[in-house]
Amino acid sequence: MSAGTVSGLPGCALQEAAAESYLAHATALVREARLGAQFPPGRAVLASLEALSVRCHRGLYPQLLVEPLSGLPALKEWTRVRTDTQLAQQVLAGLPPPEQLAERGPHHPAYGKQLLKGLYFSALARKPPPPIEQLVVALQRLAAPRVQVQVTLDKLDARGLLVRCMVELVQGPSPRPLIERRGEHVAAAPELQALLYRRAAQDAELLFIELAAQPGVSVRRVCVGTIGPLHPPELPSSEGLGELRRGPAGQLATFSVDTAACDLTADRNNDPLTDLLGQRLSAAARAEYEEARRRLGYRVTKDRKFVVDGESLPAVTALCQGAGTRNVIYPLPAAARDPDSWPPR
Amino acid sequence: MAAPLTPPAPAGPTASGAEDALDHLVNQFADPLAFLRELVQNSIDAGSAEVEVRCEFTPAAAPQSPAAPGRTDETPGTLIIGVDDWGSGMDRRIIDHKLTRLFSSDKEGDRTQIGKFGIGFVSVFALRPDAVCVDTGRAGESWRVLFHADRSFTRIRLNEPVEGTRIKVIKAMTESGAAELTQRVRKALRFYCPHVRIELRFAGEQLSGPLSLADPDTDAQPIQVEERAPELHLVVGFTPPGQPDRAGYYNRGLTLVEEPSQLAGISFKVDSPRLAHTLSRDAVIKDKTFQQALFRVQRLSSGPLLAHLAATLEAELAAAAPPPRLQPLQALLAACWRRGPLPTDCQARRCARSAQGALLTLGSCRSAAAARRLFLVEQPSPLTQHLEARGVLVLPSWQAELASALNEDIEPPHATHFYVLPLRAPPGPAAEPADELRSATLSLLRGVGAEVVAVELGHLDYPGAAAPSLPAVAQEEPFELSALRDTALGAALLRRPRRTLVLNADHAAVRALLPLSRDEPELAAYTMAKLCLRAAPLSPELDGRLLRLALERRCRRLGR
Repeated sequence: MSAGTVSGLPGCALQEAAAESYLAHATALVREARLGAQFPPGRAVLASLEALSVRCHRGLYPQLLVEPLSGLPALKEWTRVRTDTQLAQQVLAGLPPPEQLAERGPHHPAYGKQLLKGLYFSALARKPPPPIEQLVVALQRLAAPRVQVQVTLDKLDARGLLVRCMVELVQGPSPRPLIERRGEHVAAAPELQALLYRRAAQDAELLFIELAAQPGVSVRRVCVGTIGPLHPPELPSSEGLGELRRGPAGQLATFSVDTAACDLTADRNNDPLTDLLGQRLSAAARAEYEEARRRLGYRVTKDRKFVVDGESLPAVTALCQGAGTRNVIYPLPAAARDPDSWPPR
Repeated sequence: MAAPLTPPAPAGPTASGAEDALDHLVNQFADPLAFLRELVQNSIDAGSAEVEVRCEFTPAAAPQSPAAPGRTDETPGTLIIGVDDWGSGMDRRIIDHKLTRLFSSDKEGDRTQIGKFGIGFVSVFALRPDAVCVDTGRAGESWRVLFHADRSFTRIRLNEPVEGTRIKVIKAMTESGAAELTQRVRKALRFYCPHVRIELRFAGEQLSGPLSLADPDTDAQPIQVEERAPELHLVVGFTPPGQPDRAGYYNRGLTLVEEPSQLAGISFKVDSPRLAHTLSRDAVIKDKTFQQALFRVQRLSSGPLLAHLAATLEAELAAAAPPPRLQPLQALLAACWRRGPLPTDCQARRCARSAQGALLTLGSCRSAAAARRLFLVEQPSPLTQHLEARGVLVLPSWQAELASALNEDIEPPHATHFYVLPLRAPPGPAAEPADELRSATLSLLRGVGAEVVAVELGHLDYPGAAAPSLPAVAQEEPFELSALRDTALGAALLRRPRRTLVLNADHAAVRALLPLSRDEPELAAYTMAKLCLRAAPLSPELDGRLLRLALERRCRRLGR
C-alpha cells in the first residue's frame, strides 16, 4: 500500500480499478475548478492525468503512486508522463511496424506487450501532454534600460502540490540583473531561477520582499496559485480539510491564490485555511513587515476556492462561514462523482 | 443613484462632449456584434482559460412552451446574451477606475495583454441593449454593475461570491428576432475568435480551434504548413477548390482583419501580438511586423508548402490511395508547376502512379514529357506492361491534369493512338480453320507481290487494347509491341518487306471468315486479303489479280 514520496511520507500506491477511480475523481475535481491563469495550467494537468490512466498506458504500469499530503499523483508519476512523452518517437522507432504488431499481438505475448507499448507511445506522440513544470519569461514593457517582465514558474512543490508562481517586476540598471535581456528577448538569470524555485511555494509576500531587495528591481506583483490538496474518496481520510468529507464518496479539493501586489487597495484574507503573514508574526516582526509594505507600496490578498461533492458541501460552507470568508464553492456535478461516467465532460 | 459612464475626470470634456465622444466610440464598431470579440479579449486578458457564451430568450408574458397556442414568431420578450469567464474578475477599484472609465486601461503598452485602449467594454452598447448586467468578483468581494439603456450604471455589492466576470446583455425583441440574433452571435464568435487559445464555447459547443485553414464545418484537411517564431505563428496553405484566396490576421487568435490574399491559389493566416491594429480594429497597420510576416508567408508558399504537398502526395500514393484522393493533390501540384519552377526536392518526390502501379517522380514524368515519351491510357493492359518495360511512361488518364501541366499544358497523347500489341491466340478449336485461313491468305498475298513472311492469328480487342477494330496489323516481329504507324496495311503491306500479318481474331469479318475457310479457304483468303489491302486503295487491277489467283487455286484444289 505504501511507497516513497517526495514528502517523505508513505505514499498511497493505488492498483488498477482504484487508480482509475482516483484519476476519474481527480480529473473531475481539477476540471470543475475552472482554473485560470493564476493557477498551474489546468489543461496540462488534465492531459497528464489522462496519460496516467490505463486507457492511455494500456496496463503497462500496474499501479499509481499518490502523494498523501497533496492528494495528487506523486512526482515519479508526473515525471513518467514527461519522460515517456519525450521518448515516444524514439520508442516507436524501435518497435516493429504497427500493422505487424496488430496482426501478431493478439497471438504472441511478446508482441502483445509491444502492441500495447506502441498504442501508448503513439497516443503520447500524437497528442503530447504539455509540461506541468516550466519557467517562462514574457516581456511586458521595454523602456531601456528598464524592462518590465512577467515571470511564470510552474512546479511541483515539496508537499506534492502543483504551484504557479507569477511575478511581475521591473529590472533597472544593476551589476547583477535578475533579468537578462538581448534586444527584445528576455530570460531569467540563474539567481532569479534559484530564488523562484526555492521560494515559489512560500508566502507571496515573503517572495515580494525578497525580490524587491535585489538591486535595480522593482516588484509590481507576486501571485502564487496552488492546486490542491485534493481529497478524493480513494485516499484515506486525513486530518484537517480531509475530515470535512462526508459519506463514502465524499471528496473535495481546494485551490488557493496568494497575491502581493502594488495595485491592490487593501489587504484582504478570503482564505479560511490561512492567516495573513502579518497575523502570524510577533509584534516586532510585524512592525518590520508594516514598514516594508509602506516602503514598497504593496498589499496582500489571499483567496481560496473549493470543489466539493454535494454531501460534503454543508461542511465546507460552514468552514468558510466560521472563518468569515466568502469563497467560491463549486459543487461537483453528479456525473463527475461517478467514475463509471468518466470522463465527465 | 446611477452614475454616468465617463472618460477619466481630469481630461474629461463637458457632459455633452463626453456623450458625443462615447457615442462616437460606440458607433465606431461597424458590426454591433463586435462587442463579442472585445469581451472575449477582456476574458483572455483576465486570465480565464474558458469563456462560455449563450443566448436565452424569455417571452414577455407568462412562460409558454414553443408549441403553446397563441405563441408566434412575433411573440415579444427579452433576449439575454451571456458571456461568462472565470478570470481574475474585478474589485471595486477596477470597476470604478477601469470598467466605467474610458481610456483608462492599464493594459496599454503591456505586451502580455491584447487590450490597449480601455474601450472594449463600451462596445456592448453598439447593440443598443436595454440593460447590461455585470457580475464580477475578486478575492472575496463581489459586485453587480447594472448599466441602463442610457449607459448610466448602478453598482451593487453581492452577497454570493462570484468568480470571474459574468456579463448579460439584455435586449427586448421578438422571438424570431432573437432566433436570428442568436445565429448571428454564433457566426460572429466564429469570425472574431476562431483561434483563441482558451476554450470558447457557445451554448456548450466549442468554437475555438488551433490556427488552421481548415473549415471547422467540414472534416477536410487542407494542405498547409505552419511556422512558429517568437511572437509569430503562421499557417500557409492552398486555397480549397471553389473558395477565394484569403489572408487572415489575428492577435492571439482574435480576428483583426480577413481580406483577399494577394498570392494566387494561396491562403494564409498570421497570428501575432505584434500586429498592430487601428483604434476600431478593422485594419492592420502595414508596419515592419506586417511586412516581415508577409515575407515569411511568401517564403513558405514558394518552398516548404510545395515540399509538403509533394510529400503528402507521395505518402498517399505509397498508401495506394484511390484516385479521388489523389486527383486534388495532383491538381494542386499541376497548378504550382504552371506558376513557376518547383524546388529540386519536390521534383525528386514521387507524384504519379503509372498504369502498372509504379510510382514516378515529378522529374521523371517531366523528362518523359520533354522526350515525348509520356502517354495516357484508360486502363492498364498488356500494352502498358510492354510500354513500361521499354521505359515509356504511361499514366492512367485520371492523372491527365498533372500530365498536361508537365507537357507544356498539352494533354499527352493516349498510348493506344500510337502503339499496338497483338496477343497470341491461345490454342483451341479455332486453330484448324485458322491454319487454313492463314496459309491461304499468305499464299494469296505473296501471289500479288506482298513480301509477307507469315500470317498469324491473334487478338487485338482486349481491355485497354490499341486497335480493337482493325482486321489485322502488319509487324516486323509478330506479337511484339509496335508503333501503330509501322503496322499499316494497304499499300504499305505491298511496299514494306518482311512483314508478318497478324489477323485480329476478334474482328467480326475474321470471325466470319474462319469457318468459311474450312470449305472455301481461297474465297476466305481473298476476302481477308481485300480487307488488308483495301486501304491502298485497292485498284481494280489488283483486285482482279487477287480474284484470279484465288479462283485458280480453288480450281486447282478442286481438280477442275
